[in-house]
Amino acid sequence: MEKKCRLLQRGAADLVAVAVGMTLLAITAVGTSYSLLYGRQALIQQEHYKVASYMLRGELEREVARFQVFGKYRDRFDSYLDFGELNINLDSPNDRDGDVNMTRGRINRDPVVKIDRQETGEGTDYYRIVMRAEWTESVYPGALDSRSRNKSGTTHEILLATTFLVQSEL
Amino acid sequence: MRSTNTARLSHYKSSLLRVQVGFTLISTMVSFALASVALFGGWVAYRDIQMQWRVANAERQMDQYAHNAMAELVNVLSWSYGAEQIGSGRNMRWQISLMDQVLEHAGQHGSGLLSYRYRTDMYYLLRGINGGLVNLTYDRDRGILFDRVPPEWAEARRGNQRQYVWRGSVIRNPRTNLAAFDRRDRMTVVGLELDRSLVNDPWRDPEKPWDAHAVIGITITMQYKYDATHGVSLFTDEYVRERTYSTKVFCRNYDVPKNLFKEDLQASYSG
Repeated sequence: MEKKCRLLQRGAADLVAVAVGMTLLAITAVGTSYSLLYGRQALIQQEHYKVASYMLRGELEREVARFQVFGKYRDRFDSYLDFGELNINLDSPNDRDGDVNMTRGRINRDPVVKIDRQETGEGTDYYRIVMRAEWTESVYPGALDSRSRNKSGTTHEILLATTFLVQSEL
Repeated sequence: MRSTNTARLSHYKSSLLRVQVGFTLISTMVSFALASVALFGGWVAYRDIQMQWRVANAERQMDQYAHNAMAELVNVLSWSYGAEQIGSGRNMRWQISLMDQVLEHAGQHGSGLLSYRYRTDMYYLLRGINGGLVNLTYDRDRGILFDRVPPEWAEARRGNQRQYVWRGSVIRNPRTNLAAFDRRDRMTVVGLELDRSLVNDPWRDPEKPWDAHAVIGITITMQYKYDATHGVSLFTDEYVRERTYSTKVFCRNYDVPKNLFKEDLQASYSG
C-alpha cells in the first residue's frame, strides 16, 4: 500500500513538474509572439508619422513656393484663403503582400496670414502659413483579444508653421 | 531466471500497475513518432521565428534607409538652384544645379547639415561661377547615387571593407550585392521619381513656364522581399514589405537674382 502511494506521489509530482514547465513555455511563447505582433504594429504606426510629416512638409513648401514665385497668388490673396482638404495615403498598397489596412489622412491649411507691422511702415512684412496633417490609426496595436479588436486606433495630428518673405516685395 | 520474471509479472498484474519490461515494437514506434513530431515542430517553430525576426529587422533597416534617403534628397534639393531630368527609362538621371563647389570639411566625413560632400562638375565655369551640376540616379540594389556613388551614410567601413547599412555580413561585390542577411532576403529601391509639381498649377504665370521648375516632387519606394518559398508548404511564403515616402522640395535658391540654371531654362523655353 505504501509502495503504491509512493508511486502515485511520484507520478503526481511528475505531472506537476510537466505542467509548470509547459505553463512557463506557453507564457514565453505567447509573450514573444505578442511582443512581435505589438512591435510590428507600433513600428508601422511610427512609419505613419514619418510618411505624414514628409507629405506635410512637402505641401507646406509648395504653398510657400506658390506665394514666393507666382505673383498671382499674392495679387489674388483674398480669393486664395481656402485650401480645401488633401487626402493622403499613409500605407503602401504592396506592403504585407497587399494584405494591409490602409490608413488614410488629411492635410489642411489655415488661411495664409499677411503680417504688416506698424513700426515698419506700409506694406506686407512677411507671410505666415500653418498646415496640419491628421489621421486615425485603423488598428489598435496589440489588439489580439476580441474586446480590444473593436477599439478604434488613436488619432494623431502634426502641425507645421512657417513664415517667409517675398523677395520682390523687399 | 525465468521463474523469477514470471513471479514479478504476476505480482504487478495483481497490483493493477503495469510496468513495461523492455521495449516492444509498438512502444518503439510510438516513441519514434512522438520524437519526430517534437523535432519537426521545434524545427518549424525555429525556422518561423527566425524568419519573423529577419523580416522585422529588415523592415526596420528599410525604414531607416528610406528616412535617410529622404533627408538627404530634401537637403540637397533645398540648397539647389533647380534640377532637371535628363533622358528617360533606365538611362534617366537628374541634374541638380548647385553652382558652388561646396566641400566643407575638405570632403571628409562630417556631421550635421554642414557636411556637404558632393563635388560638382565645372559646368558654369565659363560663365564665371566656380561650380556646376551633380548627377542623381538610383540603382535597385545600391539605392540612391550621387555621381554614381552611394552617400556615405549608406555604407559603413569595417577595416577596408565597405558595407551598406542594411547588411549583416560583409559584401563580396559592393557594386551589385545588397542582400541583407543571406541569399533569401533582398532589399531594393524599386522606384525614385522626381517631378515638377507646379506644372499644372492653376495660377502659374503662362508667360513664365520655367517657374514650374521651382518645386520638385520626390517619391521613393523601397521593397524588402524574403523568399521562403522552399520548405514545409504550410509555412512558405514570399514576404513583401514596401514603404513609399513622398514630399515636395522648394529649391530655395531658385528665385535669387542671378540663377544661371533659370537663365538656361528661359533660353530653352524661348528656343
